[in-house]
Amino acid sequence: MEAVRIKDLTFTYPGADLPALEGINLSLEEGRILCILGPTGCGKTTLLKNLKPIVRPHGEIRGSVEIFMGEVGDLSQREQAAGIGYVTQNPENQIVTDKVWHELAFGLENLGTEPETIRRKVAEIAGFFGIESWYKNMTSELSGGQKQLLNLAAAMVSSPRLLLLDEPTAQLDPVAAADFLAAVKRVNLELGTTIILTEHRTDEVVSLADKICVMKDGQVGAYGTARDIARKAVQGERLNDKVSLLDIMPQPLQAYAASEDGDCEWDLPLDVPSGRRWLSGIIEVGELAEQGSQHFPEDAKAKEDRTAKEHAVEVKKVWYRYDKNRSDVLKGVNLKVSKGEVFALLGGNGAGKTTLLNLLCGNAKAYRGEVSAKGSIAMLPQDPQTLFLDDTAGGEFGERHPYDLSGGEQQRLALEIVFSADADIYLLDEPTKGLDPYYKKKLIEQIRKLKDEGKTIIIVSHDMTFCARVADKCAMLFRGEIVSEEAARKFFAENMYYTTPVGRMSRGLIEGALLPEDIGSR
Amino acid sequence: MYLRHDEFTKYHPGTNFAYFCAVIILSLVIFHPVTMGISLAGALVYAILLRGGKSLKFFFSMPFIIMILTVILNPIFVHKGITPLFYIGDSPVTKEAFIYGACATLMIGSVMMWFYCYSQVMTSDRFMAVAGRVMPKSSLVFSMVLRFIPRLKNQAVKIRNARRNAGTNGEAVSKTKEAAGQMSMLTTWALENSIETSDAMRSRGYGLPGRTHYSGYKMQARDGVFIALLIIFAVTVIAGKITGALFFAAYPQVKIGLSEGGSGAYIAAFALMCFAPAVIEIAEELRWKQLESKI
Repeated sequence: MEAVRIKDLTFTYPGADLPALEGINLSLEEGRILCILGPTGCGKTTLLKNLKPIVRPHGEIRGSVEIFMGEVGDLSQREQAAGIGYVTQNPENQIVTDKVWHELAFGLENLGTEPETIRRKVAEIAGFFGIESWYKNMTSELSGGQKQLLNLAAAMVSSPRLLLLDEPTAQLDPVAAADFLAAVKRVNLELGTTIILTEHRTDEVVSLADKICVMKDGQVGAYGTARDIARKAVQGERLNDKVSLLDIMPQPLQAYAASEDGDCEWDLPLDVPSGRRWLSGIIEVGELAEQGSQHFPEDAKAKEDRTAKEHAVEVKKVWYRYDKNRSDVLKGVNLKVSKGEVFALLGGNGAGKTTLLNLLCGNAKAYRGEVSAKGSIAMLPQDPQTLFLDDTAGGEFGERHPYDLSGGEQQRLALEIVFSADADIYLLDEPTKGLDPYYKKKLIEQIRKLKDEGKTIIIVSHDMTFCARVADKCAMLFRGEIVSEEAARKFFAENMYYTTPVGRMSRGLIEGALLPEDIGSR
Repeated sequence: MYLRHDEFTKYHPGTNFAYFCAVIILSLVIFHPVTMGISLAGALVYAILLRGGKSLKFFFSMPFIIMILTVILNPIFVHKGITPLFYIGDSPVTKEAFIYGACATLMIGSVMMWFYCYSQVMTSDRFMAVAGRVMPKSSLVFSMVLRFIPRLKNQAVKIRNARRNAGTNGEAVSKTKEAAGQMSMLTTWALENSIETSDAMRSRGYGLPGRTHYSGYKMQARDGVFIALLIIFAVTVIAGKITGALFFAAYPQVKIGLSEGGSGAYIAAFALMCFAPAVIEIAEELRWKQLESKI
């Protein structure tokens, strides 16, 4: 039996000229994972919300949406609450209560479950998701990843048959995102729950999903297995005038498409292992040696820059902690960034990256050591919403209120505000968060332009491909110390794990390749 | 933060709550020098059991100072009573006013220390467990407020920091406009985010009839025993008050006890009540010692 059957679904927001969804036909078997991909504004979220009418926005609906229990419009509130789990993007806003255990019990309390049954189910779910060690904690003390895992657990506590996840990892760092998706996979494998999720991180998702649906302009652009979609992407299918299907596909596939080398229609490279299979097939023995250093042309130049130019930012033996009684976040950090340089700071969560930015711009003070910056500073904070001041967004967004924009649009507006400030030094905290491939490319151009004007840019990011493209120099922070600092390409080429997917895929096969186009120009 | 969990805190929050209510109300009602002295001693012992030296630091920082002031000021301002000790100008300082002040000071000190213990034992979620049973709706609101306040504070700081480094954008924004803008954005943030939260609540069935309440705590046999004993002791003490055995008046002349049988039994009942947490703790300690010696 099919778990979900959508027939000719058309949905129009009130007052809109064009429907947000048009003639959607989709069906999904029980126990499958369906991933909906597509550029921002293509209707992914609207489609997801149409599967659970209590959260569906107002609008005109035509066509039918059926799930195992029947037509969704006919389901009672109780059936919807218990039978369909729903988790959205923002981990923070979905948490209702102040304690983890209470959050887990909340849904069951609403359904009128007996306290004895709640006790059992909450214990079970906490065990399943490994929440025991922070079960008694305050929800405000959790990390972003823990919060989102809690939201997933809280949605699963009434054992729904269908789980809807709307860009659940958009606000998480890669490690937390991978943990979250692993938990989603476990829910599917061990409980057989049917899952529909929207995502923009295709690298992780293609190996997770049984079926992929690519949406364009409110319609189903392509539907099938990951390999079906990949084949279409390689053939050059476009999603709109700005984004092609290939742009949102995993990087190994982009590398394959760029090189047009080797025939593997039967095994398209979608992840690192299949990428290695493909590469090792096309590389001649002995070819390895010649590759060598050709990929570090910027290296010598970078060295020259270091000695020639004055420093824009200098951090000398800086120590920092938030509170007298807590441990140090930064431990004797030394850092010099030359004027006109694009510098990327990488590292895991809690390594002190954001803290270091806060010290640079004066939001925090070091208790030992010196921080000096020559020139004015503008900073893009982690949360774009904190930067808005006016009721209208302005510019390309017109009269809309900043809070009415989507996550990616808010990020673009925040970037616009920061770049319009005439500063000498720009600090960017996770600048690519929520941006689709097209706007990522535009951001890279913008940063290069600023660099040409002699501005200094310091980036904190988890997006390694972005850093490899844009940065001159990279440094890695680990537990409050800088453990390595090098010219960007050299930095990534020498890292084993902390590097781009293409870097991992080509390690030992093509030295120094980091980006899909590197393989193409081989 | 290091928090010592004494044995009584491991009882059901309802038991804890009933205990504190009884002890605090009786300490206020039974105005008797001996019971109040016992009450203060009991509160201090329990506070030390809970928080060690920190509780003494609290005691000497506030309750103690208020107590000293009461003892000194009451006889200076109140001139009731018939036994003058000495005169300040024309006003007599009487023995009765002094004794009354001393008793009042014990009461103030004991109630303050009981509230201190209460705040250590009845953390927000333990209070919720009690309140939720009586008023499930308001207790949820309480829980949401507890979550919201730190978030709002945090966001205000984040907005201030972000705006400080947003650059001037060519045109300088006046300080008042900047402040008003930040305030309005903080409000918008709170409203917008609460819409998402209310969606999340509805999605999980909030608003359906027949909501139940879950606290995670379970009543045990020892809670029943404790509450039964608590009732017996409290009734005994109240009986002592009604019969006059625990009568005390300072004005116009100091008078203690009206009944003939004496007040020993009533005072003993009150003492057992005040030292109950300490007794439980010691009993538990002895039980462990015994268990260990068997191993």
